[in-house]
Amino acid sequence: MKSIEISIIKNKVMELIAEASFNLPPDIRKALEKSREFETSQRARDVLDLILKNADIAAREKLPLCQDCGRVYIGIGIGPCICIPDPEKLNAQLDLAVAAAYNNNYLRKSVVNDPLFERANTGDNTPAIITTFFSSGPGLSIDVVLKGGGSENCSYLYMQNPSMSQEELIGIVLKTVRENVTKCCPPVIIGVGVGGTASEVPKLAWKASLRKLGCPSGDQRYRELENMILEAVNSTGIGPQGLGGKTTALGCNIEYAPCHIATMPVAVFMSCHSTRRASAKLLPGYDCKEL
Amino acid sequence: MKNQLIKLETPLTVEKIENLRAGDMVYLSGTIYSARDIAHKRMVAAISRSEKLPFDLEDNTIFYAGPSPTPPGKKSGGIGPTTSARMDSLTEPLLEKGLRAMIGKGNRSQQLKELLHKYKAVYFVALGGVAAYLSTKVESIKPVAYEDLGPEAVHELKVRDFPLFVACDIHGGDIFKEPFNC
Repeated sequence: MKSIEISIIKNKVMELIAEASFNLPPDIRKALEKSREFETSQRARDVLDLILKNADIAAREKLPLCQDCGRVYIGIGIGPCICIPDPEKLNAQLDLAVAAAYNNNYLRKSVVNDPLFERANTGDNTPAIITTFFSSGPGLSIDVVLKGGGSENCSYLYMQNPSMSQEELIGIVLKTVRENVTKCCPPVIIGVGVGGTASEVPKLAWKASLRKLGCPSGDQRYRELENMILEAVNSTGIGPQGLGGKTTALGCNIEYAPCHIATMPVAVFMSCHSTRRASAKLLPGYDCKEL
Repeated sequence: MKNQLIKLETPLTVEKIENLRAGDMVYLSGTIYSARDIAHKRMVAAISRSEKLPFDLEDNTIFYAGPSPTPPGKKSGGIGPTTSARMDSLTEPLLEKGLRAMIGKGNRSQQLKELLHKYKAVYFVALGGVAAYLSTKVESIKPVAYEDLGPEAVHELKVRDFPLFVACDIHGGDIFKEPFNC
């Protein structure tokens, strides 16, 4: 058994929040650069250039890529033979890490305590949304996602009939994108969840919207569907920032799961061009103590 | 008609904006005010009670934005537009008080576009998600009202050549609906 102190996890979470806030993930930068070459409209090229220029300034000046510094999602994956002493303290300690990272890095605090009545800002961007799970990989994995409200608002759940065809699925995604995408900073990454349950499918879509670009579905049939949706979305002409062009989405990812015979849950999520995500691993021998 | 690049200074009078067409690029300089959801709700409530507003709306410009804090040694933190459609149903009372321009991101409702024609006002879009870049166009920023709202407070911004696109003009033109002249 190997133990990882909470303080080490906290420090890593703080580092990852800063990294995600200031640095555009390399896969997104690469996709933007590729789209830049592919665009024929001057305005679309100008917009993509500015997104890339923004990434340079953010990294150099340590300014957030987006003023909406997001809600914090933290995923902790516990690998084989890894233990966290005082696990009951983990969530509260991670919230302290979030508060410190948001204060120290001059990030915007965008969380209110109560949705309907006070809507008072909690002042430190907590609580974070923390998920802990067991994983088969070695060590302890930490995934941090900072998700802004604009793209969060473009998240949809549809309970379809089991007879839904692939064409109908493409139609649902296309309609959702057409009606919403200008509000969530295109070019976006489209995440589609299919199957599971009404409570599970948004998590599939969420995961899909955060999957790295260039990592298509392992299933050939879903891979083809991902390509068909991406092509359909990019044929709309909506373009970067909705100002016209060929790049409305940088990618489309699908995640799927078994479902009940009577159901066909579908969820569509979108991640903006400044999708902020960063991950790290704490490994035995480096960050762990032998028990 | 080919879209143009136009430099404008606030305050924006009807004369300055009536010839703008959807798709034109504008570099805006001068003073603008940030206000988003809850600030709108408060201003609309203040108007209905005939109370004084935190700033005079006549020929003024509202930026739907909540900045990130200004780090030491910088003129502004990250700044950029939030989704404008959320303010659609809260805008008419402000237009009645002379609001001339709004800056945000994304499309607006048909009803809002009709209000732009009725009250002679313009809707600009700024690029979303490029907060570090846009902060270089801000010369100063400070909260001036509703400070309890934190990032949602009304801030006064002085901007220089702030890059915008005319999204909805007073003639019914809509950048999100029309073919692009670019």
